[in-house]
Amino acid sequence: MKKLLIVGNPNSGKTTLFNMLASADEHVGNWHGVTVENKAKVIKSEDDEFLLIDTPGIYSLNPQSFEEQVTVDELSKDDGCKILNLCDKSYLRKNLYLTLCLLEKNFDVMLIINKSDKKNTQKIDIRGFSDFLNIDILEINAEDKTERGKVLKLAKKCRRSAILPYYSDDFLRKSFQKKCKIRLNFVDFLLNKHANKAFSRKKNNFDKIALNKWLGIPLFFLILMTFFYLTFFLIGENLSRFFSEILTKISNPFLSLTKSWHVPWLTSFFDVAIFGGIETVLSFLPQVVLLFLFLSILEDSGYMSRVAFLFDDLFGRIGLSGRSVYSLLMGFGCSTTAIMTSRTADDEKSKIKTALMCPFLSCSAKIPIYVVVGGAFFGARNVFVIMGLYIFSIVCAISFSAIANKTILKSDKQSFVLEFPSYRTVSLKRVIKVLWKNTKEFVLRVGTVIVAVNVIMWVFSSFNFAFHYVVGCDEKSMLEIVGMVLSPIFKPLGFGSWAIVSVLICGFVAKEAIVSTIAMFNFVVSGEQNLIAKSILMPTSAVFFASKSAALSFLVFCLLYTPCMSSVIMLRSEVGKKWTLFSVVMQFVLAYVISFVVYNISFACEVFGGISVIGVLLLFVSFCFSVVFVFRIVRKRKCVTCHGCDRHCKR
Amino acid sequence: MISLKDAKIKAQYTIEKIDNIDKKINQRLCEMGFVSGQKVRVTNKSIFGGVRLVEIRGYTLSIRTSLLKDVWVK
Repeated sequence: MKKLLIVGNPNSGKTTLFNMLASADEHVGNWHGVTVENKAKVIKSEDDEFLLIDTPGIYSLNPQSFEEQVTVDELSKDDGCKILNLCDKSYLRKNLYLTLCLLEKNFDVMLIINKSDKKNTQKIDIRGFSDFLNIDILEINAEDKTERGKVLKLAKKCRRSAILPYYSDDFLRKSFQKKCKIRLNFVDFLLNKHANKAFSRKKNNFDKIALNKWLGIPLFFLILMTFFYLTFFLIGENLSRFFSEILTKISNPFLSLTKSWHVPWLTSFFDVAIFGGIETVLSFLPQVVLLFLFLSILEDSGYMSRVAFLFDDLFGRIGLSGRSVYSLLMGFGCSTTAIMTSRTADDEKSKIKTALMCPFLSCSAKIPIYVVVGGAFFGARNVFVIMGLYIFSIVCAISFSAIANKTILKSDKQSFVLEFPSYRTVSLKRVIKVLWKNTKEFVLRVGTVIVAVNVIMWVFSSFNFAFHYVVGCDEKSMLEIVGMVLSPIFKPLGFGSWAIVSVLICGFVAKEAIVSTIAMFNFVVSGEQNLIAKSILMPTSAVFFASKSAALSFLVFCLLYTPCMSSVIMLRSEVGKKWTLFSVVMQFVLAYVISFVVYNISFACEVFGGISVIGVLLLFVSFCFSVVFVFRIVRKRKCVTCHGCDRHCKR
Repeated sequence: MISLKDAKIKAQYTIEKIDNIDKKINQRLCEMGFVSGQKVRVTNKSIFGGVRLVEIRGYTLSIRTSLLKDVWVK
């Protein structure tokens, strides 16, 4: 089987071409570093079969980051593969550099010029161009499915080019800089000869605000807040309610039918385990899908590169580059995918740092927990609690990176070079596609896990070790016994009941399962968030929070404790066993300590009144500061050999 | 001859030479078009001045100022 490699600069549309040729559905975005690993698919054309491989973008054959290394490794296998070199028509002056590098290495190349920008009316003399280099050149729109046959037909005939005019022994002896200069000049020469005057992009007015020193970052937060508000409150909440109402209408007749059979455990199985699980999936399906949609709009429009530019300054101080913003934003969607995007980092250490930061961020699976538990205790003020938790998660992630940068993961000097794509309007077709894809993925991948966990937890919580159905009897279920053994550990955090401990165990499998498990223990329908919220206030329920402090401590614990199973698996494959173990342990310990502090401060506030507690805290903080101050003075005095060196002295 | 990091915003310059100590960074800069004779323009600065937007060969790059200090322009 012939191997076809799609190679090109970042953001030239390789994955779009791959999706078109292979009828695939890989993730694309209008910015650099979206594809971080090779993707392969066997495709058929007429009588031939190809193995089509999509590679991460490269600038040249000297890789500088991990994903570039992937491509160069694939190229250096030297197994007679054919290369589809993709160039963006608006960036030919830059993209052709790579083409020359490929031609110098004598690969079988075919050049595809992608007309991504419809406003670009630049004319290229394809014929002359193609004759001059002795390779096939095709000018297409990578999204256009009708071009598929043409591409594959020419791909069969990929051939070695004529020897480039400048390429000689003399050239090979030159320094790297001189070689670059010769190649760049040759690109200019080619374009001057075979293309009319370059199309000049108009400066976008939006950039004036988006890249402004003072307005850029506030604008970004404004956009983000609007998106979050729409996702979680305005659209998301209403859609969730709508879905769960529909499901109740379907499930009710079925459940009354099962009740007529008079087998209590079977009724409970359908009601709690099956329908309960499905309802949980449906109730936060809209929120998750909307969040992914907004992230993809940010990506597609080309705004993400601007954001990376705005944040690079701040991120540089904690040893990360602006590119990490993308991983962190994805972290708000799903930690698992976010961890995978950390590969775009420049060096190993910043990659590990980015990957370990992702689980700190509050992923979308945790939203229902905040809505239910927070809603029950804080009512209308829950918005502030949720916002507080989000900000807290960002603070934790950034502090972690800052501390790691000073201690265990000192980054070497990083290069930060990022190209700026032009803005693109996001088409409705694409929006629908993203919506559909995420819905499907969520229902299939996450939904099945939730239902499965629900069923398993139902078995553990409804039967004892002798497999007797225990609901309604005095006997204790398996989960109750395990939970009781572990519950003393969580007593200091304010929630030492067996049921909450079991809920947290489910949360390790998937954070999505937390709310549905609470619903199951409390015997309420899991789609009805109001009912769950009410149930955790009742002392007779299994999952019951005695006070606001306990609820708050539980929320903080959920925010920070060990990431879900799939994230752990992903972490292991990205950063290795050692760092995964580190992450799991660190997050658990951190969650425990912070929840402990939060619970005790908040509890003290409830008992002694807020003002006195704040007073005591202020005293404590000032005491700490004075200790540090005195310590510094003492250390300074110790240095006798050189006066006034202020502890920098190594003597 | 001045360093590109001290270049005025929106003024056009011609690159004279690049002499970064780090070979890899040097290579990447060259590949991105930073070779002698090319025209460059700094269009934006970030809030603390740690990153700049540079226009070169018809495209825009976002580059850390620390990398630009070894690019000498006229």
